[in-house]
Amino acid sequence: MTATTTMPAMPVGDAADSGPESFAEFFERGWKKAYCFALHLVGEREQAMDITQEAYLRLHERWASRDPAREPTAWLYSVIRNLAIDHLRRRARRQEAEIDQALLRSPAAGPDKAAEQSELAERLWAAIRSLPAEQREILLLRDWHGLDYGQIAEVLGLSLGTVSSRLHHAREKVREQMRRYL
Amino acid sequence: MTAPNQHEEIRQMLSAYLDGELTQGSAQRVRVHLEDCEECRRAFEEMARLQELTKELAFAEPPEARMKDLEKSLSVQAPRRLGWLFVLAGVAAWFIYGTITYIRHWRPPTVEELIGSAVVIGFVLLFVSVAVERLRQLPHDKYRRIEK
Ligand SMILES: [Zn+2]
Repeated sequence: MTATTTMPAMPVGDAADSGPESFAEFFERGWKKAYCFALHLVGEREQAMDITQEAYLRLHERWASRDPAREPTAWLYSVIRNLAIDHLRRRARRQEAEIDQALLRSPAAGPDKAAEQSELAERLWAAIRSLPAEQREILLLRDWHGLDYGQIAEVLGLSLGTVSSRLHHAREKVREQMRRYL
Repeated sequence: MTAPNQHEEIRQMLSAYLDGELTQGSAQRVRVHLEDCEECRRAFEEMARLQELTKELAFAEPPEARMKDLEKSLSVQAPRRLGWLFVLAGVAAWFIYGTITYIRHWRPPTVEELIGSAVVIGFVLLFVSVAVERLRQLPHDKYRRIEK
């Protein structure tokens, strides 16, 4: 549990032009991010794991009949999102999932610079958590998961224009809270 | 000099500009404006810095043990689900065929046939009960109803 999941190791969404990939490759490159997506939606690790597992199982069942020209990340994320929404509904909690500040991992200890960085990261995560759920979701899909506007529109069932303007509002809110620390 | 409402218009586009999601023409307009306008440039730089920081946020890893479960479930459970599906579909088809044949060629059954049927029905019931139990044991059965 000492390792952390960070962005650059696993770019999502650029496999479309390198030919169809196998399910195993797709699973390998994206499952940790997929888990984080579920985690940010439901706020509980166990449930997030269940949902991730179920989502991959479903994709696996239909892998052969998918359109190989289409990059499957948006598909995976839509399935996860539907499972998460269903889970929240079943839990009979009308209010959105509470996202724990503790979900964030501090980077490995180092000199002063690292401590400073980690404090900044904590502030940023707090700012992102304070966003309304729909803005937080879109911000993370773009900036942390690395989905493009088209993929986000597909996952969330929104128009490109809505994706763009919602993201703009989310970023402005975060910037307002964070600018004095930058 | 740029009119004040132009700053506002450019601000609205900064986020999409950052993501490379603007049309060429709009992107060009933003680029030109940012060269001249320090205030908008600062806003853009802050936005870009925040995007970098967000990318670098590190979240807790999924539990290692559950990762193994997940891998196992993908290699074992998916074919197993399919296997059960085929078996159940086969049994159902066989039942329907048997029923139709039975109705079309009905005559009073012989003693041997009655005994044979009892054995077959017994096996089928046992099989169905095991099948139902197995299906219940498959993890995350509760999500089965949602489609995507
Ligand atoms: Zn300006």
